[in-house]
Amino acid sequence: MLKIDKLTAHYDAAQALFGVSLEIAAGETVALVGANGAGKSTLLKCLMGLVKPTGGSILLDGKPVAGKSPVQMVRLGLALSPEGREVFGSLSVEENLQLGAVSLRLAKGEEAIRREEVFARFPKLKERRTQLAGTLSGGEQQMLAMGRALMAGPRLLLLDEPSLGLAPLITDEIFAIIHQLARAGRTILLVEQNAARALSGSDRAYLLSNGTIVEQGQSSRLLTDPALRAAFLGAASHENPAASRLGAAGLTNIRLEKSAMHPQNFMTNLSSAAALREHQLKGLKWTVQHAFEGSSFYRQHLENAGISPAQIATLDDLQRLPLTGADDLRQGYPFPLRAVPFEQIVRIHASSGTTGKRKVLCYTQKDIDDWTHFFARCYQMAGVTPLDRVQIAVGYGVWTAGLGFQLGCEKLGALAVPVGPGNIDMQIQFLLDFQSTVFCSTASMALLMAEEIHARGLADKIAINKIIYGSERSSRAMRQKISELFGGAELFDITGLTELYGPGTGIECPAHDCIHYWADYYLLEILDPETLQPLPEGEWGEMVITSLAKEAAPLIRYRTRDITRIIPGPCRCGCLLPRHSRIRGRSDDTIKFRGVNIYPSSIDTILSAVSGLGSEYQIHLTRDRAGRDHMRLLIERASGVDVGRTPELVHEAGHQIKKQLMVSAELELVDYATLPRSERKSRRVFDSRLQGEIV
Amino acid sequence: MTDRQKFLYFIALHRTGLWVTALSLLLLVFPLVENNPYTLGLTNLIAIHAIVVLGLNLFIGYAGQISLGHAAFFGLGAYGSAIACVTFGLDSWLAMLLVAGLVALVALLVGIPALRLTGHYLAMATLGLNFVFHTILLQWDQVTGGPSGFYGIPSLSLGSFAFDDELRLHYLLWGLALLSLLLCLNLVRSGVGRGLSALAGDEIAAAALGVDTRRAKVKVFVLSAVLASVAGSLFAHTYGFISPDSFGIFVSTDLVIMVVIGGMGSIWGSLFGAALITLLPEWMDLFETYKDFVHGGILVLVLMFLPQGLITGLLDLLRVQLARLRQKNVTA
Amino acid sequence: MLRLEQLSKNFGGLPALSQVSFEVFPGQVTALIGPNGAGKSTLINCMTGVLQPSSGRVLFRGASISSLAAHQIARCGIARTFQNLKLFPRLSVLDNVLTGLTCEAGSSMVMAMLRLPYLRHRERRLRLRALEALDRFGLGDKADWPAAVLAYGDKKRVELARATVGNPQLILLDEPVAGLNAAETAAVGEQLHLLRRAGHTLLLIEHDMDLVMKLADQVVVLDSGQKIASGTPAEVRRNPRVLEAYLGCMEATA
Repeated sequence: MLKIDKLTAHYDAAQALFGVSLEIAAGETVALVGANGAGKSTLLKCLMGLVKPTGGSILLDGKPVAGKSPVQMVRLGLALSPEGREVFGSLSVEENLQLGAVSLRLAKGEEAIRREEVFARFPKLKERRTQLAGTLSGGEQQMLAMGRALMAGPRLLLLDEPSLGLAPLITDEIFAIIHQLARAGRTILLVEQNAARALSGSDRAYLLSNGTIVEQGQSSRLLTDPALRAAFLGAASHENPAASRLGAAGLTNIRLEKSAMHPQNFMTNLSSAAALREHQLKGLKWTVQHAFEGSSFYRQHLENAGISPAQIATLDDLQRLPLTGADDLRQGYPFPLRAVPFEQIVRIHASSGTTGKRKVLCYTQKDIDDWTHFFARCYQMAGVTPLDRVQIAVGYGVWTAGLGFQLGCEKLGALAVPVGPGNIDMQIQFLLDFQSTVFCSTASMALLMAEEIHARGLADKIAINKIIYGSERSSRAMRQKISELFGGAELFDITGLTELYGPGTGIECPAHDCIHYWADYYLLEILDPETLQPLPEGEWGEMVITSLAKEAAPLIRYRTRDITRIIPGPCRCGCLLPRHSRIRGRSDDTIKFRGVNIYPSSIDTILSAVSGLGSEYQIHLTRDRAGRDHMRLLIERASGVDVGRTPELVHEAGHQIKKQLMVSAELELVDYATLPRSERKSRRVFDSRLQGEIV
Repeated sequence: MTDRQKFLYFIALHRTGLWVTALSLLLLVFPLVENNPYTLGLTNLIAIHAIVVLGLNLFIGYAGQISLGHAAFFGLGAYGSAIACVTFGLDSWLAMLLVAGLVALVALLVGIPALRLTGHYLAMATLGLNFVFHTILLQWDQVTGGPSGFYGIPSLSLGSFAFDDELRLHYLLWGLALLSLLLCLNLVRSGVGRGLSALAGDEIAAAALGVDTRRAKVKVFVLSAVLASVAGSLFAHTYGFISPDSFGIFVSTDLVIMVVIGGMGSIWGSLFGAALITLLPEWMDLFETYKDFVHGGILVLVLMFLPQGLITGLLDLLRVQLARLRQKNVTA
Repeated sequence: MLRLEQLSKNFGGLPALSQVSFEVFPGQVTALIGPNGAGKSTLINCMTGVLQPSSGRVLFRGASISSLAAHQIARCGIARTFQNLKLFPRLSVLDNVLTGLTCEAGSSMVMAMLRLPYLRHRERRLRLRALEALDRFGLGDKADWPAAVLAYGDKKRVELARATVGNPQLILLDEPVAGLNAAETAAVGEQLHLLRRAGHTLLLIEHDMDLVMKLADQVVVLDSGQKIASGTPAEVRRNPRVLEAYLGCMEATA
């Protein structure tokens, strides 16, 4: 009855149909299936005369009809139920139906007969015959649209997406009616996105993609063709849920439910601030006594300061104690601050030694047990359970990280995958094979892994939902990037110091607001790095630590050179232990530039706020012949950002730096991933100016 | 970034300012090229119309509303200035400001209830306003001089420097017109301007995004009224004589035609629309009697074939042709 | 975060909503499902100030918003998308997304006209944010196209970008995947999942059961203007009333 031959159609400059050919015989139900924008509606509009085709022909019973007006097409026997129903909202159901046949100029009697037929087929419409069409529900409107089309007594009924926006139950009803119409002998061209429905309700089908027919044939065959099922029924394809993108996006991942095992609790059982302070005072008294008695260094140091253990009566007396620092550790090499006899020492750990001689700390068994205990607390706070699989990508051997993470993990009862650092291929292999759920590393390593995972397109195949990272500062942009590329993982910053056991002395709170530190194991003071006076709560200053239970190498007012601030007040997450902010930098990390002190972390924060920049950056400081300092900032464009945006990004970044730091820096924007990433800590500041002191 | 890139970025960033500067330079040297006072008089009239049309375009084109009565605000500015200067002896500049303020108040009082209406109803309300105003002008002849008009309006002056010839007026009027142009361009490119476009596009969506639709409509109405008032004052001081004929409903429709011809929502188009309709009578001599016929005809033709307006319509056609060419090159 | 208390809406004499009460919890996805005509769109319109409820309250973070106008509700931090797409066809794609930042773009006409430096800086920042939002939804290269020429699926994504660019506290999505094919639906589903991971709170009206069951933390079922069930997807799936009204037949079809 209908033959379309190599039809082309354009919308202004855009071509929508590229030579489409199809045929419909009388009495058939033909389905036209395709994705959004494939051209289905365009084809129907060409048939109805709403759009003029730019090429090809449409033959109805052998006569060409392309380009005729819609009124003529209706008179020739075509009727359309448009996409989105398009009922006349301010007219009643009856009036809408009347309009369906208005161009045919039927006799009144004929019109009434047809109307009754429509009402017979759609009883719901009959109930609402005087109701305004705009107040009908979606399904009822669809019925009205179809009824209106039927009023024209068409030889060919065109249905454009009848199931669009309708609930499954109503769609059933509609398709049942379509089925009835087909059985009654109507010729129907059914256009649908819902391939399953369309194919089950038609005799033959055409698959339209990007304006061309890609497949055609018997509907029953197409319905069972597996390749076609996969292409069009995607998410509804129940055979292989992982193949559906939703499943692949990790939504059907291994869901770790709380096990029936009684979970251990590593949180402190001190229930009030007063109880904590009492505990701390006991610990302080013990530490001072223990250090005085066991370590010749401390005895000397305390005597020089004119203070003895008996004089420690309240927590305020802490300030009377003398400060210690990294130099004291270096001088005591290889067993600095030792306060117990050798037979009690079971282990030593050392720091990386990037700034001079290595710092070596020794541990008694109790020290190790304490450390393991509060490291498990870190895992607990991050929500890790015995069902988790923790892939540990930090340095083992003499560094504290590896053993710290591992023992804490085992204590909690989770599965440890002790891979160690580097070896990206193996890391990824293990992520896939073991389906690790927690990843531990430095921030730089995490970024490296994230980018590799993204490059290999594996985000949907891994199961990481938490990342615990430490020993390095990271910017907000970097964290966001890591989280995104890992498929939406949660990040936890873990703090720690080789001098104070190792990593695990505190961890980011589940509300991601702050870092809770274990105040039952050490006291934290914030002092002004210049005057060494205590600062009021909330101000940025240097962290000074006093251990409360450390045996082999106790710490008394040890200057860490890390800058942070205490966050006063209770935390959203409910934990009672006090908190501090993420480490802003080291006190010797500051860049002095043209009289202004700048923390690299400030630059982090500023760059994070510019949308479209990547998370890596480099600061190059130089001095020219005239003795003037210059700062050159290398920043990266975020991945996927167009090159054309460069000038704007540079303008904005420069403006922000000028506004907030009051320095003019020369900015250079490079492509994403051009700046080096490292597995350990990334070096970002390159200062080639001559310095007065030797670093 | 290479220097070339920096240069291109600078151009892109300041393109509006650069275009306005270019136009300013053009207008600066124009009288040197064309110093016929009649021609200058015409261009001066274009400048005055441009100021009104800019404001009206913001209201019709950007905020998507309709006003068939803006000649009333134009007239209020003209008569207000005339009365203030002649009857009360106020300084011309001060009068202009005061009258503008008064008109703003009137627009506010009228706008708040009227702008609750939409579409045809708003059009009728504004038409009614114009009609009332015109009638007042005719009837209240002790104050307004009635049908015979108001004489003796002084020229604007800065100290002893009087703007009384076409050349001096050229610089004054176009200076003010360019200022209005710049302000309107700035508005359109800002967040507030986008809010207005949103308002025209879909009121419900605009409200869902945080645009206070009622307030925005009134604000733009008042702004367009103030611009019309200032233009009216300038009109009065330029010609020294005003009559009610210049402020009737047909003038309002002429203003709307200028907006449509220029392109609804095109600020630059406003200049073009004002120019074309102002100059049209010059180009068609036997025109005078059939003026309204021709105006109406143009309006109908433009709306039929280029409903977004002449300038915007032609630009869009151009863009489409370019896109088609580009596609052909790609597929070829 | 959002609580509805006995919300009712009558049109003339017809009750469109009767005593609907439920809560939307922060950081979670709540799905609102129900057969056609159940009143879901009416409910969203009552929540966003497009309609005034006849009785009952809507509380957002403890404060009542039932009597606020639509734009005030938007400024509280509630963003929404529309079932029948309400983009601004005359504006470019980028400008459309920029309208999502209206609350941050200033409201003074005078200041806008003067275009002082601070305004230019703000414009640039907003522009970069809008571009970033477009990147996130894969529309970065279409930023300057007039919105009217995009395909339907892309238009839906522009509307999503517009709703999320301002970092709203609560996002109401009215049938975000209606009219999209399977691949596009999955892409949107992933975007919604990422939004949830980033800590946003979503209220979703949808018919696509796959999407709802996989994404939602809580499902509320409406039928003929009344809430007939609420709970986790698994619970709701098993609820006999719900199955009867709605989900039952779904199992039987392809």
